[in-house]
Amino acid sequence: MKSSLNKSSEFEHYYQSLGNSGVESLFLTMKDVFMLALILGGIEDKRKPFAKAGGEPIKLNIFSPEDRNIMDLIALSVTNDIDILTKEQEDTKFTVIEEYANGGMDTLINSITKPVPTLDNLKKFIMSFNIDDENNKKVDISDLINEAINNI
Amino acid sequence: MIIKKMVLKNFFRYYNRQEIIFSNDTEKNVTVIKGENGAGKTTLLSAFYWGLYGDVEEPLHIDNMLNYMAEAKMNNGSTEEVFVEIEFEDKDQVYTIGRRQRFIKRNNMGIRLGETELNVTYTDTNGNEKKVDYPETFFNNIIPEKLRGFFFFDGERINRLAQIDGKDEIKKAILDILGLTNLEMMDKDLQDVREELAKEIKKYMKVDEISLSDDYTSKLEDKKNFEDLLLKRKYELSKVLENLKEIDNFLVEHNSDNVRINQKERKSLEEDIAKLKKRQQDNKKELIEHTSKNFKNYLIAGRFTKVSELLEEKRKKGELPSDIKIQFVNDLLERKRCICGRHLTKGTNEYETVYELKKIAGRTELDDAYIRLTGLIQSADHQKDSFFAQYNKLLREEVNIADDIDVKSKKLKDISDELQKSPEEKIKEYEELRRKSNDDRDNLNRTIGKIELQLGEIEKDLEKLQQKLKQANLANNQAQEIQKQLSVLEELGQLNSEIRNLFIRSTRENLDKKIKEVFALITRKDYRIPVLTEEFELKITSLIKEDNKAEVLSTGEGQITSLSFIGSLVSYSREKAKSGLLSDFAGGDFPIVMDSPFGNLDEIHTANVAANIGKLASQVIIVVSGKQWRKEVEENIFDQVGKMYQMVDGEFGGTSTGEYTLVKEVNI
Repeated sequence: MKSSLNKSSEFEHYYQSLGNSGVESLFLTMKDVFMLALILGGIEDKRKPFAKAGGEPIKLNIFSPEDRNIMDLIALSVTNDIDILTKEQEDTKFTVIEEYANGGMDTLINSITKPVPTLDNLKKFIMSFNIDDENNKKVDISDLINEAINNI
Repeated sequence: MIIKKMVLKNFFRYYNRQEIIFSNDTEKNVTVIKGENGAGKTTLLSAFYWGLYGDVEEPLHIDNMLNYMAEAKMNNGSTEEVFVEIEFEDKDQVYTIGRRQRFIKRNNMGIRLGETELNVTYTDTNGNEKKVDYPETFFNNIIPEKLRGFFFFDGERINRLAQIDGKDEIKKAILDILGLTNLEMMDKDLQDVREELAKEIKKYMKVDEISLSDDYTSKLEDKKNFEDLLLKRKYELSKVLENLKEIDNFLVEHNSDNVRINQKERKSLEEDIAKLKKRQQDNKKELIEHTSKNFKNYLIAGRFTKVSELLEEKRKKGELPSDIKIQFVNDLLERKRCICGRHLTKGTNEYETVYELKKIAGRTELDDAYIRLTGLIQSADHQKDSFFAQYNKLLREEVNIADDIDVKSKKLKDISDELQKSPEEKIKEYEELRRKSNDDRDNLNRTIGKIELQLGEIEKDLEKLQQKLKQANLANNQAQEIQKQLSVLEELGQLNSEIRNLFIRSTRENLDKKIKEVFALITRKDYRIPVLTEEFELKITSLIKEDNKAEVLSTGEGQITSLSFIGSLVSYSREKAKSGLLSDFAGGDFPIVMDSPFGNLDEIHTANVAANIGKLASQVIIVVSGKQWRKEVEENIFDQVGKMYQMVDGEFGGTSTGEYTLVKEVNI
């Protein structure tokens, strides 16, 4: 049974600089970076397996019950199989989560760390989601993200 | 340390041999020396300096130390001596420090002959007189020269401690007096040994390990260099800040209304901007917190309809949440009896019917998941609007703060421009200097930030290299042994720094308490409370104001605040020495020698200081003028005085060779 989640070594230094560099951090913790990346990966359906883990894995007990619910939501969304939420498949579920978070990291770092992570980049990225929902209900989210990236 | 006696011979105003015996009484521990202006009161302080440390305070100069009268009585070619001898007791041992300088008269002028001689002697346990081998460094081990200003000082000039510029001085004093520099030195020693061992271990290493070790040694050197650089830059910064303060004082006290008003407005604008910058930081923190915690809910809202549909479909089919649980079906099959009472034997229709139920029976964890996920989707949808409502509010606040800062910065620039156009050259010059100092300050702050960043990186690298060295498969036992020592040193270093930090913190807290006690005895404004801040600033706050901001102090208030600090330091240091805790380097019992302790004080403060002066240290020696020796001093100090002297002008004996001072004991 997994007790922590891995990050890929490819993005480890981004995890450090975004969530673990004191006053310069753009997120409270690395766990928050992981969660945002996971949701982006889920929205874009972007799965990116990795062979080499980097840094300390994030302990599962650091994630809040709400975070764990979001993980289940994404796992269910990307597998379309309710059994992914059973005890027997828990390890498979967490591997799915790690790989989708890794896929989402691509989007996140492209949006907010070029050339260096700044709060302004993060603000622009967040504002690109601030759309009038009533008029844009059918917009494809991956298009929106791509557009946001192009605008930065 | 208790000063027992001072003997002066031909030292500046003191003609021939003069002797002062100080009070050693534990109750009546104050010695008073009275003298009129020009009688040599300040010279007495210099006698302590020369005797103990070998120099004198301006405007006195060692070349002119031979008493005028003694010089006049010499014949050309004859010699005369000047000496100061101080006898004192420290840790149950009596020492005598004697400093002597010979003079020869040539062309009717006394000039220095040879080097100054210094002798330190003590009586050993058998009653034999012994000489101290290294007299020059001897007294520095009792009261380091850099600290002498805290024990031998001019009361009128100590108010600087109660100013922001005084904080480094205060911190250093605390560290030095309480022996914390020993801990700092230990740190340095540990680092030196680490370097040595890192060199040593190389002899036993393979090629790749050697390069690792070289890397480690060079990083240690880098660390040292950066630390030195950091100290240097911080010192430069403190000088720049001192300059700025001096310029600001000049402008704020200027006799032109315009300059004064401009400077006051500038101060208040600068304070406003500092507050706005703090708000800017807080706002940024809030923005980051809000994003980290709530953006994810915004993102998932309405975007996982597929999941909602899947869950809804399951609900419609009655699978989620299920009416019947797998565990329940398993239990029936195991018990081989249905709830209706029929037997369930494998192969029978009844058994198969119940067994089939497993296909549609649900599992507790999936039911839970259903409830959790539908709840999550609903609450995310509900909260969707609130994310950007709060986010935009924080962004607007950010823009407003930035605008405010812009407006105020522009006003600051206008003030500076106006002052630079002043017809008075001095104002122009000061304003130009102020701009330059501000630039210097900003540059230095940036440089210091960079150095600290680099130091942090080096620390991280050192830790990594240390880990790698630990893991290196060291060839032989000797190398492994040295590696073990290195690891122990590393841990010792960490422990040492933890102890140091803890000690500084507890010392500051205790001193803060003591200062409050001492200050309460002296002040006449009981609503004013001194604070020794975590940054080691000594400031006065007011109980009747809520903002806990430092009050602006008058010179007199600065003086009693500083006096409280010194008194607290001395008494704390004495208690520490007695407590035996870390006794090798913590504290000691020190006297206070003060010139003009009542100089700038009003009547009530004077009375309060006089009534409590003996409590400041085990031994207090004060030098006062007749004007300062007022009724309220005499009445309040009297019970504490063990010895009293009066400086009087000597007789000329008919020849007009100049004035000189005699110190005569006054019966109490």
